[in-house]
Amino acid sequence: MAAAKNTEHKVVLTLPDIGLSKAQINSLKKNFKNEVVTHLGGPEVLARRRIVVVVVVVIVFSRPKA
Amino acid sequence: MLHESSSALGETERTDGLPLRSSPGGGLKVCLVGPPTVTDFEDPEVAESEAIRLIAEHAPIGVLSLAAVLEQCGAAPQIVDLNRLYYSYLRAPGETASKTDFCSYVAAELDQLAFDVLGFSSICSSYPLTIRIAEQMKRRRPGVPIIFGGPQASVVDVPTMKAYPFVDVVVRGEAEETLPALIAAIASGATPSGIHGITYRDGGRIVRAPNAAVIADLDAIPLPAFHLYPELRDCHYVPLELGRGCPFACSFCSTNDFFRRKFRLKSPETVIAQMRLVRDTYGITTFDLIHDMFTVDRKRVMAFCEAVIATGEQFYWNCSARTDCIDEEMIATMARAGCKAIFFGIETGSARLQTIVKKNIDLAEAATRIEATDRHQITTAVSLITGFPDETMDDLRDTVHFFVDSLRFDFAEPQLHILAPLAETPLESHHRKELVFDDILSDMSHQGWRQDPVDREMIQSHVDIFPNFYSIPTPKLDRAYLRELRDFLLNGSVRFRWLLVALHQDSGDVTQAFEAFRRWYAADPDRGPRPDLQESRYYASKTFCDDFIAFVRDDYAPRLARTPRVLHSILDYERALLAETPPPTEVTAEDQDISDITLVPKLTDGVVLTECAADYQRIIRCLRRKGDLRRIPRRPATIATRQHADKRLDVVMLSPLSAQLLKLCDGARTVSDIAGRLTPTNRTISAIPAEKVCMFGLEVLRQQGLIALHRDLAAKAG
Ligand code: B12
Ligand code: SF4
Repeated sequence: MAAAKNTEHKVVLTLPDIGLSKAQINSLKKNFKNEVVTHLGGPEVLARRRIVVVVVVVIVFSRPKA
Repeated sequence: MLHESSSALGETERTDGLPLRSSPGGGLKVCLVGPPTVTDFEDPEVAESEAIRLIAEHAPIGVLSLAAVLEQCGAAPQIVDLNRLYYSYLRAPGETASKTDFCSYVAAELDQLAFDVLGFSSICSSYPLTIRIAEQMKRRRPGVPIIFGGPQASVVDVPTMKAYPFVDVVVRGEAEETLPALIAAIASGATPSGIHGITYRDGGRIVRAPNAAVIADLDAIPLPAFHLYPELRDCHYVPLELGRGCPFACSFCSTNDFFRRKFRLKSPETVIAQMRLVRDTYGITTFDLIHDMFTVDRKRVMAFCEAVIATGEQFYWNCSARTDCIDEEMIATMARAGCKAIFFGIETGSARLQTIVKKNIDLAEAATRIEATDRHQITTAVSLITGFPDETMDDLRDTVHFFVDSLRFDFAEPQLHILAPLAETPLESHHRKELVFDDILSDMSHQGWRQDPVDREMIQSHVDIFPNFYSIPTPKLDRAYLRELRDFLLNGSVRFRWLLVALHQDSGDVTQAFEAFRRWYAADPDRGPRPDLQESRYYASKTFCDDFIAFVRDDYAPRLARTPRVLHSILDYERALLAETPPPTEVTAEDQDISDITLVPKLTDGVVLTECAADYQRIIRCLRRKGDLRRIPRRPATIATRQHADKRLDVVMLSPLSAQLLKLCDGARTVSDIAGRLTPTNRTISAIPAEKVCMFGLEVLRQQGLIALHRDLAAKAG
């Protein structure tokens, strides 16, 4: 009955500026791309739905540390 | 639990002490009792499960609709919902054994109320119980007329009244017009002769009046009297009628005849107005929109959906449809209008039986529709039946094939029922003389693990009243096998959906794996169903999961499988899910700044790592499109499972580098130590300093909740 929701899991990375170029960040994103599958209710519960959630890594630079 | 409306005749006080406003017009006090559908689950644990409680929440709109029209006529209806009462009974203090039986409990509760007429709704599965309650009430209140109505009493009216003299009248079929007429006759002391749609007593005779006309204008029926059902506030959804009557003629179906096959729909305006009213009064926006075959008239379905979309308001709803009365465009529009669940009666996966049972749907088209509802994220009940009299093993295999095939879609929820011969259906009429009481019951009639012995006696004495508890013999199929196969498939698909799909694909027929499983457990007294854990309970238990996983690992995969490696990978994964992971504790990370390379990353509590021989996601993708499993490459992968406090379970497929990183987080190494040991194999990042790679990767893992950062304890101590 209840609406099953598919959620997109956004991981917003807040990294200090560690001197990575855009291309390097993109390669790192690819290499650390984990896929999350959420099982609502846990294995013992009757209705177990699998929702594949692809992690989108967004980089937000925080100000470099003083 | 027991609710009265505000108008009443005669008494001005309820016997439970609550004051009652007096009625303006005066009218009989009519108590309407909704049918119990959860009494099957006498095992409190099962009854209290979320799935069963959700079913029990289904407001009894048959009697609520009647209450609404009775109120309009000045009568004073009250509603008793036996599902709700059942929970009060279960939850009442005291050991089950020492408690009175549910029937007497209900009678005692009803006896607290003041009423002049008592009406019972009926459904086949709990009809014996309804009759027993009525009998007790007649003894307690001999002067109160007892009226039966609803789908079961409507079709077994004469035999019921012959066998049970305390049933005074049966109202057959839709009753919004008949019941007020009957109540008026009772109020005036007149005989009900002349009222169409009833079966009544005239002296010693039982008289069956002609059928009442169907209600042509459903918009004229008021909103069910939800105000007499305050429990609605706690419900997750509300049932509302979209219309009545299915024009098809499937041989096992009772509901088509009940509504005289006359397809009718309420206007979109009426339904939307009712949804709004419910939302504004009770704050509920999810609706079970009831119609046996909503989608018969494409134009009107589209008009309804467009009207809902045009409101710009958010309603969620579900409905029933035939796969040959719906198409891709309708599904897309329905989804946009808020359709979240749909019920498809497929009935059988055998094209031959489709014709025999007069369902006549095209199975390839049905599969396409399920694929479409899945794509639109509409939860889809794929309802299948086995146990038809003409069914052969090949037909059964086709049905099982359809069942397992649907499992490939995340939003499909296949069901497998065992046929119940519903009273007065063409199938039941044709096989009436052959019916047997073999205790291999469908869930249509199964009364749980403790069917009341009194019910059994009634059922055995009156096949004409309770045929749904009987079986039509299946000369070509062993019914005990059917029941076990059903338990196996239903529980298996809930516990290890993809393992079933993989076994089906590997063997070409999952019934072969099922039969091999039966042979396997038969050879070992410590495996399989056993005297203290009989079949249905066994299949619902964790013991079955453990046994089945052991069977696939030790017997099926090495001996019979064509793609053992794939099966092993799925097993690894399923085991990771079934494993009891420790519940998470509060994260007490002291510092979250990843650029501090002296911090020590540590796996969060509740996180468990499992190695798989092949990429699970890739296997699933292959199974979804029925690809060749032999082409799945060996590619070891690591998955992390993480238990949430609210029972959700996250499964994270780690990229190879994430896995490497996570394994280095042993709770002692600092970020800097880990960076020193990390060996990225991918050339694209080999030029990036290891420390930066490490910081980046650890931050991803931290934000995914897999690790937390701590200060180095040793350093702290120093
Ligand atoms: C929603 C629904 C459910 C819900 C809620 C049940 C409920 N409380 O009504 C749930 C999911 C729980 C359910 C379960 C089952 N259901 Co069901 N369900 C329906 C469905 C689709 C709609 C019911 C409804 O609300 N109708 C709308 C209202 C307005 O109609 P109504 O209830 O019939 O009431 C009218 C008349 O019957 C009459 N009336 C009703 N009560 C009374 C009382 C009196 C005193 C009088 C005078 C008149 C009267 O007046 C009302 C207004 O016109 C019907 C099919 C249908 N279209 O009706 C099947 C139906 C009632 N279910 C049916 C069955 C078989 C089942 C199950 C037994 C099997 C199953 N696996 O599905 C289970 C029960 C499980 C169990 N173990 O007990 C059959 C019943 C056949 C029969 N001969 O009894 C039906 C008719 C469908 C079919 N397959 O043919 N069901
Ligand atoms: S099974 Fe469905 S389509 Fe067939 S007659 Fe009954 S309601 Fe109609």
